[in-house]
Amino acid sequence: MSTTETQLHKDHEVPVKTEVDYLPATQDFQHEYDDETQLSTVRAEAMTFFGVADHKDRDVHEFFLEFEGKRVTNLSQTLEQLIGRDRPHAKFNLVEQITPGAR
Amino acid sequence: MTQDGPYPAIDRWVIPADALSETLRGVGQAGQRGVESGALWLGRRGLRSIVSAVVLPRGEGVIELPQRWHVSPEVYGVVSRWASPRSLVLLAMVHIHGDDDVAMSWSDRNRVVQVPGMLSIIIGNGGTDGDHNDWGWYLYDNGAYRPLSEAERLNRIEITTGSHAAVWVADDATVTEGVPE
Repeated sequence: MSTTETQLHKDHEVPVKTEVDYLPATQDFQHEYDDETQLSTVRAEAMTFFGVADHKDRDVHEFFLEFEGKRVTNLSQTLEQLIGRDRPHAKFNLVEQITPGAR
Repeated sequence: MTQDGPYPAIDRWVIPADALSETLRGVGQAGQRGVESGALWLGRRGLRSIVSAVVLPRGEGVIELPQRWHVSPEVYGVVSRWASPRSLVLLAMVHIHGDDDVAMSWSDRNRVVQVPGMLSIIIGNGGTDGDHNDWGWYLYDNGAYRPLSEAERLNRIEITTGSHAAVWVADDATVTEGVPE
């Protein structure tokens, strides 16, 4: 990317107002991210806000983001790659997946 | 009861009497088949938290077996997207046991939502125990579920006919008002 292209790209950069809902919580997680932010960062910071963590007991407990009703599987994606360029808002749900282990 | 942030402290849960009866009605058929089933109670959370919606998970994404009731993350996602614009949050999970034992199993403690102030309620005898005093009432508190003592339950759980709870059915695609067929 040339300097001019880079400048143009930066001129177009709009922070993405990001919201994450979690069903038991009264507040959303809200943060403005650069659109180059990886979804793993959004997930991790939302989980911290909601006081939850991936963990293992007899089962495996993992939290994932849903966007427009679909599970986000590629956390190395950026916000821009997921929602498209110049979209100023992204709304996710945080949901827990419990995979049963040995009983 | 000092937690703030996304889980405000709760002094008292106000539960419409029809939330109890609609929950019993919703789980009744499963109980007759000898499998577990349940309901999600949603409402406004605050010092006085009021249950206003009974959500019955059904169909795709819901497993009802003799010793297991499981609601998939996809169904929780659908309920979450439905609840958010209504300012409703999950206040309690209710499920039935086939026998009269309303103690929490390991699964009941660990394969459920674990956040401060969450209630988990177990109805025995396949959901035929109509008296909520016979149910198991548990509160997620200090990192684990604990039973509510009778005194605490009487003090903190208010069953009322002064408000109403609507019944909804949720699957992995939508939430619709009304009792299941």
